[in-house]
Amino acid sequence: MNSLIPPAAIFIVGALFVPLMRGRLKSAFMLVLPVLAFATLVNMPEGKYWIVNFLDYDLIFGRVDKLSMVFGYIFTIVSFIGILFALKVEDDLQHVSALMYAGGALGVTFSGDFFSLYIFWELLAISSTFLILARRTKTSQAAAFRYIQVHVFGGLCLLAGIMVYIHDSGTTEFSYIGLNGIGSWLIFIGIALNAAIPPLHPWLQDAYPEATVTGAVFMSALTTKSAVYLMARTFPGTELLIWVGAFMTAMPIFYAVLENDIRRVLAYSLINQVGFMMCGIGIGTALAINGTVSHAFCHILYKALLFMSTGSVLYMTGKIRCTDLGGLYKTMPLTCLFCIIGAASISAFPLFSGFISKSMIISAAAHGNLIAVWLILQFASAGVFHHAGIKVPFFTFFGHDSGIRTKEPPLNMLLAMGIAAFLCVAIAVFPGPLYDILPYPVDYVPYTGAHVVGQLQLLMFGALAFCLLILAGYYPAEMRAINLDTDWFYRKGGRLFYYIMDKVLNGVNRLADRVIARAIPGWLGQLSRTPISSLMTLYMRVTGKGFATEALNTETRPEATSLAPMGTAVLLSLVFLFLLFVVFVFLA
Amino acid sequence: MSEGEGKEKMILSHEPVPGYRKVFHIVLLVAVLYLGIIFLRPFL
Amino acid sequence: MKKELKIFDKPENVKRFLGFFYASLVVLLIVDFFIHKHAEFPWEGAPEFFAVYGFVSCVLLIFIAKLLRIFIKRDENHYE
Repeated sequence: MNSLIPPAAIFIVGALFVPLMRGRLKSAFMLVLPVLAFATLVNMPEGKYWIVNFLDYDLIFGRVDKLSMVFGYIFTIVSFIGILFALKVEDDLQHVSALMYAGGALGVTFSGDFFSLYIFWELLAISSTFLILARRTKTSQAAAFRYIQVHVFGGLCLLAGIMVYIHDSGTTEFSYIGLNGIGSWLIFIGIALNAAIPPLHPWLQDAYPEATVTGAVFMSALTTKSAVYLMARTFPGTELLIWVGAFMTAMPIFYAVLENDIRRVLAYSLINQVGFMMCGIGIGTALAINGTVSHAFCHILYKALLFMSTGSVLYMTGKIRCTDLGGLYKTMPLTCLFCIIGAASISAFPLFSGFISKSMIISAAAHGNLIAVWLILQFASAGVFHHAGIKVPFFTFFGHDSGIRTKEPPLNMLLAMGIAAFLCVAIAVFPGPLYDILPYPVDYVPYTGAHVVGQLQLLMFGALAFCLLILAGYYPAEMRAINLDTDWFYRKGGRLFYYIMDKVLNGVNRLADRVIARAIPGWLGQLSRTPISSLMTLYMRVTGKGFATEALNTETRPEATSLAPMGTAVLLSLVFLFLLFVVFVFLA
Repeated sequence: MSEGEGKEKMILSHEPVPGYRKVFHIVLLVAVLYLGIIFLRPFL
Repeated sequence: MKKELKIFDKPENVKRFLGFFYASLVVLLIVDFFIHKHAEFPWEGAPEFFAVYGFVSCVLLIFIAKLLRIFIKRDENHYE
């Protein structure tokens, strides 16, 4: 099968040619890349190929089985939609990094060994950082900086885990790992960070709302879902994930209810949705894994749709806060319709895509007799509808009229949203094709009377609660504020750390500067120039007996270098490297 | 924020509509009681 | 400029929408008695379980969130 080019390479190499082209040619070229990748995918048989020998290890760029294929398909489909949505953006930085990013996600999906996995993993982190930087505002720069720091930390955890794993097992190939020993824990933490498992989640709600309008679409689809893929590959059936996942579905919805920035609401609901997937991976039965994979598939589409429709609002009006928006259905009816389709899909309404996938995970929890988990997941399902299903469209397109009058976004954006919306409905109406490509044979019927009525009751009475809470004046006011999350620890805590380090290390620095850099060389300088009088001065100082000599001038050495503290980045990197060293030396 | 930037709304609160508080309280009470019965029934 | 949609500017339309909504709730409550249930847990089979659970969940969600806000809300420029 070596006649085909790996799909990841199509994106990564293709990205390099984008800046060379202009106008329609460029648009056509970018749209052809995912089509080519999809054609390649369709023709890829199962097996392991594209093996390159490197330093006595085999790099496997093509580990193709049912699990990796599903993610391969959806990553290519969403890349096509994302590229179409971003087609009119005149910024090569965004195009190139988005394509690299998609290539990285496909690379992670199909790599069969840890070396190539790690390379693509880092490519994901770096290329997505540029999608935040490309917003080119002060806040986005700061958010991008925090984002890359967090991902460097996660990447180093993964790398340390990989080293221990290779040391123990003697091979770079991997499939199921399971939690045993320090190496697997480090790998687990590395993946968990990218999957935004609390308390390692705050980078997501911090960074995604700061990304560019089009960049956020790619980000919502790729980083967390490639982590879901990897988790499903390496840690299925890990009981810890059931509880972590259940917590992950519930915790973010409280934040989402309070949040004012619409895209941050979506970021929180993204964490909540990945929670369902983590729970499914933790349960680990065939039904649960099928549910997880299909939910990832559907989730990528409706989350991209939601980020596109709210992104369109941001693009057309420059505003994205609940407090600033409202009444936009009047001038953006199509965008509004697409947003509602996305909202209905994430809420898992019957005939919308979430319904046919999420219910598999919840059923799997019921089959496993996990009562508490089942109740939490149902609670979270109602909660999702509350914030993502109602709050997002209501405060953007309805609610109080903000007075904003605008237009629909450009045709390519509408088209991209239209395709995603069509797929959201089509998958739900005809779930067969999706069920056919899942890792295990599917024996699941989503549309039973009890399930449809039960789900509709859960959602509609959740809506009734929203309605009555608003009318009774109990609904929390939308306000411009920050809600503290675990990023406090590195945003404020980091500053405290910096302050302490500044006082301690710079204190040492200043002392060293006074004694070693100034006093001693100054005196030695004097000594070498006027040895006799210097010694006499010393004698005088020590004994207190006077000679008539000029006063000793120790400030002869000019200011050599600035002794300002080095960047925190360097310091943090050093700390990480040191930890890595400790792990490697003492534990491996 | 100074008042000069009054164009950007700082808070969007939801004023109660008369009568709905009562409706809400009644519905909530009924729902909680019924849910309590459902959950506790196996133990009674 | 295209014509604006204004359907929800008229109070009677909002009323009609809400009426439709409440009617659908009643239909859901009635339909519940006529479907075959295959409950995994004892309470899942109780009449109108999901309706009550959905409603109470959402009210709980909002009240806990309001409580949470007391502790986590900070000024917009908190990190600057």
